[in-house]
Amino acid sequence: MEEEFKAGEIGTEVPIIPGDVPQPLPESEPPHEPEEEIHSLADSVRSLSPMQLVAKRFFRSKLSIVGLCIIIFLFAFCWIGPLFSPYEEETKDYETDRLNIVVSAIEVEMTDENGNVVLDDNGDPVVYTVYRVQRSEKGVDDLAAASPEHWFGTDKQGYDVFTRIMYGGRVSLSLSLIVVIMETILGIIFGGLAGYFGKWVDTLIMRIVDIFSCIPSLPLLLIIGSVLDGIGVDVNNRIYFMMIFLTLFGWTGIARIVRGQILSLREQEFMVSATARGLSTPRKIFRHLVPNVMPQLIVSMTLGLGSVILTEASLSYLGLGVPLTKASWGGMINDVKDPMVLQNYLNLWVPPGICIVLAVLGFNFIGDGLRDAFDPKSKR
Amino acid sequence: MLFQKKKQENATVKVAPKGDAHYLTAKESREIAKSNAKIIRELEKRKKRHVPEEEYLCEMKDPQNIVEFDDLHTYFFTDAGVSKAVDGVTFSIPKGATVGVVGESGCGKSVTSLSLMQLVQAPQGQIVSGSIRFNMGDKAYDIAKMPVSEMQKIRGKQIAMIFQEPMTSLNPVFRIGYQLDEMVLLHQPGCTKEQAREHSLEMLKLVGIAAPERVYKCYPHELSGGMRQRVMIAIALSCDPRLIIADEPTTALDVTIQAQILDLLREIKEKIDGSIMLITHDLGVIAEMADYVVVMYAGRVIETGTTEEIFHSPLHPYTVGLQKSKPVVKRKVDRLYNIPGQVPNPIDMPNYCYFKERCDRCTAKCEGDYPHFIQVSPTHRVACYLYDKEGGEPNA
Amino acid sequence: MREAMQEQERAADEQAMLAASAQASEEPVTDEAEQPLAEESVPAAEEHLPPDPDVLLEVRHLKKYFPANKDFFGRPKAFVKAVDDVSFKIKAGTTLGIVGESGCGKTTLGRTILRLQPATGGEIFFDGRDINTLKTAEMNALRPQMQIIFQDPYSSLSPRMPIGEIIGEAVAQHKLVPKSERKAYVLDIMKKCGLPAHYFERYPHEFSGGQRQRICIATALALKPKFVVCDEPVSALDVSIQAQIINLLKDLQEKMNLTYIFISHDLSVVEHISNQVGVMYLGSLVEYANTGDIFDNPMHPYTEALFSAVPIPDPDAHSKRIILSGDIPSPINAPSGCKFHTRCNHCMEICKEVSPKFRDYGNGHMVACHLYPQD
Repeated sequence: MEEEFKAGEIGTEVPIIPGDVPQPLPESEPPHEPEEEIHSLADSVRSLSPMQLVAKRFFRSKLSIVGLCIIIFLFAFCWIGPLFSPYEEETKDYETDRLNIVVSAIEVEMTDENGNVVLDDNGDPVVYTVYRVQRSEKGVDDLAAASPEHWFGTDKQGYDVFTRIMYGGRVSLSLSLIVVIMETILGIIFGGLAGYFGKWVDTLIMRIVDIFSCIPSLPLLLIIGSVLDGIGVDVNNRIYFMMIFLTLFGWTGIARIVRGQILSLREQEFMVSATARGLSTPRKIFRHLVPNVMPQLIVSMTLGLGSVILTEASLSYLGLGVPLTKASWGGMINDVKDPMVLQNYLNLWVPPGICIVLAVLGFNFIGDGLRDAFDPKSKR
Repeated sequence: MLFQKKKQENATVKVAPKGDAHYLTAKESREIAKSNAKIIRELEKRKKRHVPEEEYLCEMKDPQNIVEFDDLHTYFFTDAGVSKAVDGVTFSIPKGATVGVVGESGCGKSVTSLSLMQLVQAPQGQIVSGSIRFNMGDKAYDIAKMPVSEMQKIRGKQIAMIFQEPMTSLNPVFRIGYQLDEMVLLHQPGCTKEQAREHSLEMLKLVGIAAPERVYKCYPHELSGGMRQRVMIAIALSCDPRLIIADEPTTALDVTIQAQILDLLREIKEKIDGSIMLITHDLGVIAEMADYVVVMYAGRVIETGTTEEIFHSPLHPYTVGLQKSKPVVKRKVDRLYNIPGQVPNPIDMPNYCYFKERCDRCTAKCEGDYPHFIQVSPTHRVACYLYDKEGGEPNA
Repeated sequence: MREAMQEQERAADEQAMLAASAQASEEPVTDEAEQPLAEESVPAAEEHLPPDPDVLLEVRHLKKYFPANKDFFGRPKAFVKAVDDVSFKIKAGTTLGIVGESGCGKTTLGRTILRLQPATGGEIFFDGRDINTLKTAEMNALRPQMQIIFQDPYSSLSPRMPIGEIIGEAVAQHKLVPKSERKAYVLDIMKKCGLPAHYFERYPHEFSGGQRQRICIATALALKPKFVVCDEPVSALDVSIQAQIINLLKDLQEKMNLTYIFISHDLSVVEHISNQVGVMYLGSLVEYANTGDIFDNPMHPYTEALFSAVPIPDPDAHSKRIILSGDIPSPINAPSGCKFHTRCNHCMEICKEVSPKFRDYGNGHMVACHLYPQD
């Protein structure tokens, strides 16, 4: 950072400008008028404020701009989009111009004129199958093809896919945000404790972290899913349980980052200086350590968002996520389980798939951009 | 925000400060970034194209010189504006002499030497204009115009460099011997591994390492700072360079080790009959080592002369201030002289003497343009109006 | 304009108040602590508390060992003796210079004196109290009185805090100044250290090394310390800035009656600023004397070599240089006997086995060397 920041070398305390008006400053005058100061050579160079520096480096990379656009688009699409959609998340579409023909088969025994049942050679009654073909006025418009009414068609239940993607996005994005924030809070607390106090606290917490990170999370989540089904948890509450479990399996990475950072920051001279000045422990942690860990945290949070979306998608795909009537991107892809859908109805599963890819890519681009922006050593 | 764009030689964005003018506005920084990108693109393009030898072949002004810097400009295109790290530097290094370049951090002394090696950090750092003439013996090349592929033949072989940090300038995963041999094998084709080893051991002996065989097999971390600096010197010497650039070679070392290394450098110079460009901020080291001294300030040379001239009759107020502000053992003063203010950052420098506002001998003339060099003696030049005897126009 | 006036007035008021409150807050603390301590340490140590009221800090047989080379169970097999049996006294208002090469333990000495690292052994009496025996809370209350200035002004300022807050935070913590007057107080300190008031809101990265070092000094001095450890405060700075900082430190010492330990490898700076000089080699003091005595008549061969190695910025001054052979030995396995014997030009047989006594050879000139009579 030094190289970059050297740009901001400033300040002489006594600018000697012979040409200046020799006006004796009264005691009450502030010692240095800013206007005056600027004429000094060393102060003539102006630097960027800390946030500007980060923003500047961030926007220098085209990829991070692309990522930011993707994410803004997705959020707008999911939260503002449904306002313009004629369909609700769970409206089955009945009103349709499509010809809905309902065929019903009735078996009729053949009778002669007298009403006696006609028997065949074996003595069994002869049975005809009569097909009744009816035209229904109100049918469920399921598996419709893409059309101006349904941009991506409808799914098996007759829900509008396009609308479901928006609602599904709300679930996927907000779930990942909440999970990542909870992970970060846990990570800061445990990582911070381990890093700051060291010794046995560190050993204990880091061993817990080790244990958590060697549990295979997917099989365990599958088991938990069926246990939840078994004990009859309300399907609508399943999403909250899911958040909790995702958090429990995800905080360890952040705790490691925080601990590592704090361990290295603790050796910095400004921390020694804080001790020498007798600052209290909470102040040292929250005013000196945490703000310096924040950049790395923001980066790992952004990258974490992408991976939580993926996990959520795979869980929903396995049928463990949000209940069926609710939409989520992963749940929508679940339809591919039916080979017929996989082969013939690309409109059902390709769009949510693209959304997942876009969201993950977007978050990763932003995360990479932020990492470069916060990295003091990056020169570009 | 008012701002006037001033097209200087390289479209520097000049901004009129107003209000809390300490921070650049977004608009200004965009402006800077845009102009930087444009210039960098052009300069990089120029570097990439194929250059025939005639273009960088040149004549030395004085064939007794090994290097002549002529109005060299090396700029860094930073976010805060164009930083003129080297802004019109002219001096020469005679054959067999030690030239000390002295100045404070950010005065451009290291960038000057990096320009000579074409090692300025691209793409921000670029040699914008001027020439560096390097005497190859039978012919002379202008390094500022040379393509990278040709430059590689000069680097290490003709010009060697010793860096400040002996801790980081050796590759930690290779043995000392390997790193020494590598240098020989690279620059002397047809040399066998046995010969290279022989040569490397000889070099280690030359730099005063008592057990060359042992050190040859060591990894860098097994050696102390002083030993590593010796090894660095051995590597630098292994191709018989015409010029050694020593960039703060003893700053990271302890005083007693520094004494050893300086002794060694002096000895070696006599043995190999090369020139040394010694870059340092330590006037003591300069006084002991150098034949000629170049004093730099904010990207410009302000005074050059022989060591006796600079130390016994310094002329520029900065040189004088620099010598007075360093306490000297057994020379008791009650209060140190200090030059007020800070070293300026060479961005958007005005066209008057850069030292003006820190100078206590300022006259009315100093309001004028940047002073030109005034030749005080055949070897002594100074850029200061105090010695402008004619008293004529500042542009004279 | 008006604001500035008010600030000035406030600052002036505050000065007076502060001086009063500082004294008021000091005395009860010392009284409380001195009682039990006096009882404890008098019978324990053969030396008693420093009787001389002029002595602000006395260090007796201070040791700081770092474990090196742990065995499988984490028990240390060897120690780095970073500070090994160091004793000295500093009078109030004077400066002790500590010189030595890298790895001689001078930085560790400074930090151990401030109890930033626990000492392995020995006593540190500050204002008559052994700070090694203080409880953490007591120590924290004492901390404002003993401050430190670091070598690297880049890493010693928290990068994400504006200057005003950095300087003021410890003032707030120790309630040195009422909240309403804190800003004026900080501005006053900044002014004393040569920092214009509009730097208050700026961040450390915007400053050059010299300005940062001023900020560090302001941060330390805002706590009204009596004693400051200056750990190579000018080594990272340019020559012209070095002179500014040294002058500033000297001025502040006069104004605020500060006591310094000035740690540096630069002999000329140490000579300029110090009243006494101690020379360290591999964790021990080898020579300690008044500045004039030690520079005119260096007795220890190491001191002599060290002094002669300093390059003099005069091309004609070709002093006789004593070039030491070899490097500083590793402090893990320091040589036996006199630690310097491996590099010494006057090495005798006895030097390899017996470590010399640190003796006074008149006028407080202490040397540890076998060249001089040991009894």
